[in-house]
Amino acid sequence: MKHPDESALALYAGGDLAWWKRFGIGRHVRQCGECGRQVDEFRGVGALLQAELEGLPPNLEWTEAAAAMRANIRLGIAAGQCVADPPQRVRNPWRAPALALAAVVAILAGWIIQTLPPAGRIAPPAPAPAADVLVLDANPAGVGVERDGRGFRLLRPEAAEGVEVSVRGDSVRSRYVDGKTGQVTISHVYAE
Amino acid sequence: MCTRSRLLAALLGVVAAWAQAPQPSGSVKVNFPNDSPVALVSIDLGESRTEARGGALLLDLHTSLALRNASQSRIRGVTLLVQAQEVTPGGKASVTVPSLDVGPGESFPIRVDLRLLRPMFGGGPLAEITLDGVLFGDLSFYGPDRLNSRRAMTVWELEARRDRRYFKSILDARGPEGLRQEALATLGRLADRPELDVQVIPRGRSTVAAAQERSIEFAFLHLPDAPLEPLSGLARLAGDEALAPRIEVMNRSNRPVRYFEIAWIIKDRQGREFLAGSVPATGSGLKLAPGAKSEVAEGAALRFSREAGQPVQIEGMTGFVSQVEFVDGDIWIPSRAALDSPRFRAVLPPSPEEQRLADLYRKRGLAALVAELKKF
Repeated sequence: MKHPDESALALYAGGDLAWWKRFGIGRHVRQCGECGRQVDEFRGVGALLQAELEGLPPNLEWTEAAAAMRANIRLGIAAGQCVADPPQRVRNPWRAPALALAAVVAILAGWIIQTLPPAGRIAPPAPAPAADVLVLDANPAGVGVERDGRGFRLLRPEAAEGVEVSVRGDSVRSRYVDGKTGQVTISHVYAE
Repeated sequence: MCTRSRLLAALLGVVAAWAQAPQPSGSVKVNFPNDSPVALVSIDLGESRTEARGGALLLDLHTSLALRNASQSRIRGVTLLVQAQEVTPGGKASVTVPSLDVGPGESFPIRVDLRLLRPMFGGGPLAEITLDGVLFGDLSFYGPDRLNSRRAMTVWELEARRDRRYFKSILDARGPEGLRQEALATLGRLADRPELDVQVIPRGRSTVAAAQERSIEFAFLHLPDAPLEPLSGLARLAGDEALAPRIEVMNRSNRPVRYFEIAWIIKDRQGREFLAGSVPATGSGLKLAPGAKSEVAEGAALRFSREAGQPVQIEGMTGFVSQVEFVDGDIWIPSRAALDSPRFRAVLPPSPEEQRLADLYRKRGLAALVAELKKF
């Protein structure tokens, strides 16, 4: 009996095959216990992945993530075929975990990439200082310190009222009345 | 479940755990000394959250600390030092709550809303909150004072006493309606305050070619009872940046001075004036003898902008002496009468205490304001 290759079974398990291929492979899977078990395992992995994916942001850019995932799956399959013995079908027990790992890494990579702000949206209001320079700033959002892309900011709470911003030497401060507590709060960032 | 499936599940779990951001609860460490006059009652991280931003991690930590006065004195102000050295070497922050009136055994909240941006990987607490100082009703102080919070909180407390006295004098002289008018005037001044954004590069680095720089002289407002007299001042302007202001002063008092600040007002091309901040005397070894001169110099580059990032094109600068500390520890601040001129009222914001009292009137009415004034 000629078995379908693993990529076809994986795509069949995920419902991603064209209908005419799905029909042929489906008939084989129903008759072949070994391929049936493999399809079940792919479906199990898919369910686990789905559970993980539910934790991802709703606005995930799926097109990019899916492209990266497909590329990694094909890469993994190609690598597997390089070491496989063609005449004899040898099942590698680590192949499915490797595929799953590749898929998860690809999804995470896609997620990270899509969270990067597009270059066109970055519009600094003023010329940016050199990357390694410590910069302090105060604005209605709060007071912050940043160096080389890292930094922290004392945020103005939503309930803040009457915000005053000022410079004092090598430091900046912001003052407001906290609407929840009625307390005046003065936030200050300093360069050491 | 077969071995392979278990391995798969474990693998996915590890990957998912790796991908998860650290929990906010482990991101803040509060560390008060054993003999601290304020005790930590609880920490509430409320709606703190973490979010991946490319290869970096963004943490919004909305921390509310419940503190208790563990001393025998009334507390007037607290300064917390916030450090995130792992995130930004060279930067630190503080949160101060002045104008407090907390009796022994009483509790009070302090909120620290902090946003951290750091690389994805790293361990340990991201931010550490410690105590920098506590100011008591008799102006005594507890704390390491690494941020000179003793002086800052003392100035705010002296301003608070000055402005409460002023409000009480209005109540005595003009009655509740007079006090209402004064509170409304303060609210009006607060509402008219322009929004100003500030960017400071501490060791002055202009993004504008040196050839485009020009110098501008300070004008000065002289307060009649100020112990110091500003003599001259200069700053360089490059585009919308002000660079390295320098101001010379003379000690007109009969006491040596160890610290002072010159408030700094900028004027834009439309003639509008803004209080930009202050230039402090630098160094801890200052001892300005009576009759002696000294110079304050700031090495920073400062850029000011208004709403929507519109840069403020500076056309003029004005300075005045805003605080002086004598060697014996006494602190001078401008009197209320001196600050009552129309020019000062147009430019200077109300003090923190005046702002608090006006806010109290706005939210709880005249009776609450009168009751608050009677507490002191």
